[in-house]
Amino acid sequence: MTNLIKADGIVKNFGIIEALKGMDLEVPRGSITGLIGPDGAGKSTIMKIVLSLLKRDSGMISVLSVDPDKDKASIRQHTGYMPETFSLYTDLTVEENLKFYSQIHKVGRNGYSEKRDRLYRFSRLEPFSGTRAGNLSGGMKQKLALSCALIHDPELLVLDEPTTGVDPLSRQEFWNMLHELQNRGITILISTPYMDEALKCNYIFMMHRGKVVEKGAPVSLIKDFSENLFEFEVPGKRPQEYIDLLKEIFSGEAVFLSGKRVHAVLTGISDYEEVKKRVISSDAAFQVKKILPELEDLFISRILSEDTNETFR
Amino acid sequence: MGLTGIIIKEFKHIIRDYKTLMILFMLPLLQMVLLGYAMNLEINNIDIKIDDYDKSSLSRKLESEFEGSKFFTISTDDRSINELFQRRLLNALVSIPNDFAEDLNSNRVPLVDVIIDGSDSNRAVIIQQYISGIIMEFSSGLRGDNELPINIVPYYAYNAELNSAFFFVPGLTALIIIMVSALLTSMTIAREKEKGTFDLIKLSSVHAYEVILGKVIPYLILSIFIGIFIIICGVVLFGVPIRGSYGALLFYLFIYCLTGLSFGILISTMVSTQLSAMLIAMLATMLPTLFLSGFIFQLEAMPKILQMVSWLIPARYFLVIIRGLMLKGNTQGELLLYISVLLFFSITFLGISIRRFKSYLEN
Repeated sequence: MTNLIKADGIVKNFGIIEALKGMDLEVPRGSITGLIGPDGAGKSTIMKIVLSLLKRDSGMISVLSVDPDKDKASIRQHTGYMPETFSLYTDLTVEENLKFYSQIHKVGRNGYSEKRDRLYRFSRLEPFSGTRAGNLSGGMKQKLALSCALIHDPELLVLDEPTTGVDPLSRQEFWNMLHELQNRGITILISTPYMDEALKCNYIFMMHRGKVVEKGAPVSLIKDFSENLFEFEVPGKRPQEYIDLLKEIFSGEAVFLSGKRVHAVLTGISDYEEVKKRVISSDAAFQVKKILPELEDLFISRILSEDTNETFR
Repeated sequence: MGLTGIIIKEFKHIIRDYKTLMILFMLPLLQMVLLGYAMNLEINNIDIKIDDYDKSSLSRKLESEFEGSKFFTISTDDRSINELFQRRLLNALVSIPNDFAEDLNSNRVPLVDVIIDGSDSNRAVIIQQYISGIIMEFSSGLRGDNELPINIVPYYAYNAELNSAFFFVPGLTALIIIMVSALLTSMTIAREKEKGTFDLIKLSSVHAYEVILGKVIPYLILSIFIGIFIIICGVVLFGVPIRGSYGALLFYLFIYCLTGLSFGILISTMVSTQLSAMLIAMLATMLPTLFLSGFIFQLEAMPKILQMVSWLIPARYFLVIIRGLMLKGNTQGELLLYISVLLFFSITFLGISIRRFKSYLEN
């Protein structure tokens, strides 16, 4: 499969802040590729570089077979973008927003009616065509923003955390729409803070502090996670109360909160009995389980090990 | 197509934000009404005391001239002059010397002392002019036309009654137009930057010139309407005349609005928030127009350096043009220099703004 986006060693600094420290990215044509990472990881920055909204300091990038810095017109003609914050005109109606974006993308009057009707069917926004965008619910706003990004039939769709703050049902509906778009051949680059959404991507790039710490198909990444993952719980106690004790016991290993429990990726110890022996020697009544990893475990353990390496560097 | 889209969108923003629209029209009306009734250049009820040391028929005649004037109220308060000035009960003291009649009869020039409260210098100058006017009138009537070499009869050309509205309506038009046009354009673009909608415009197929024209045209029309509204208010409420050509007035209003709008676009290329756009637009338009355009303060009385700075203020030229067209009925030929400078400003400003904006949009 050919790559619609191929980036090597992208560096971008904002003054003294290093937003991207040599990032690599490959987005296969027709895929949904996810950028996963905490705030400040550089997800929006690489997206803006892809879209030609920002210039890179160094590195190579090809988007739709052109360099975004050199052929902005081509990039802008074939990409659709949904920024992180809702960026449509709240005082314009659904229909007026769609019409405005069709006009600035030079869709043409005849083409517009056809596309609008198709987008209405796709997003089911038609009953709200006369509603001002500001009065729509969070989920509907996102559907409208997606429809506006699609008005000129882009080949590449760049979506910056499109479902943040949206209710779970609307998120599910939104993802169904994305899969429908993928089936039509549109390539999607999406960033998300939700691990369940990361699992819905064909490929993911886990980012931390301007670098990719892990990449691949989510299922393969989980399958290939060879380290030993243990779950700890003390009945009747909150995990915050005993996590420090576990960090002390397993010093140098990745120990982190996971919901109401604590997880630890133990590289040096694989034996369950050995782990149990170590925690039993403490005062707390730990319950220990060896568990199968989830994407979140993989991500946090990579971030923590990256931070440890950084400290020692 | 993109241009039409942006123009229609901007008009919708303007119309739907009716509160801002109301403020834009109410603000000049309010300023005009306040200025019209509060800022009166004519001073009435000047409290004056006359010390007549001569007590001759001539000195009493001069005293009666003051008594007969509608501007003066003769004070009979016996307290000391110093106290009366201190308590602001007296504005001026006229002392007629004891040899006043004798001097006049022997063709000598008598010296009449006048002391004026100078704590408000502008008021003091006007009072002095009124007193001089009365004395001149008195001496003129006394000696006959042939014998008095100088007979000063003050007459304020184009504004005989020193009507304040004649003074501030053109000035207010100049001030409001430059403020509103620069503020609105810079803020509309800054708002789009702040909300992220500008990134979506940048990512569209729209050309830089379409964005600029799309943003400028609606606000140009709005600014011209506000300008016409102020002028009509001036004419209807205060009887300010328009003695020159209406067409010319409209054309220069258009040029001046364009200067303000170009300035607004220039600001928008430098800032990214509405707050900074507002502060810069207000600071860069209101203060110079108020203080350095000749609206309120005489440019000739300013230090050379400030006079030089005033050459860069578009309102300076527009004020001459609008005052010329409204009050003097100037022809285009008589205003050619000012018109040329204003046109030069407008074209240069627009050129720089478009260039900067284009490079901002394309990068």
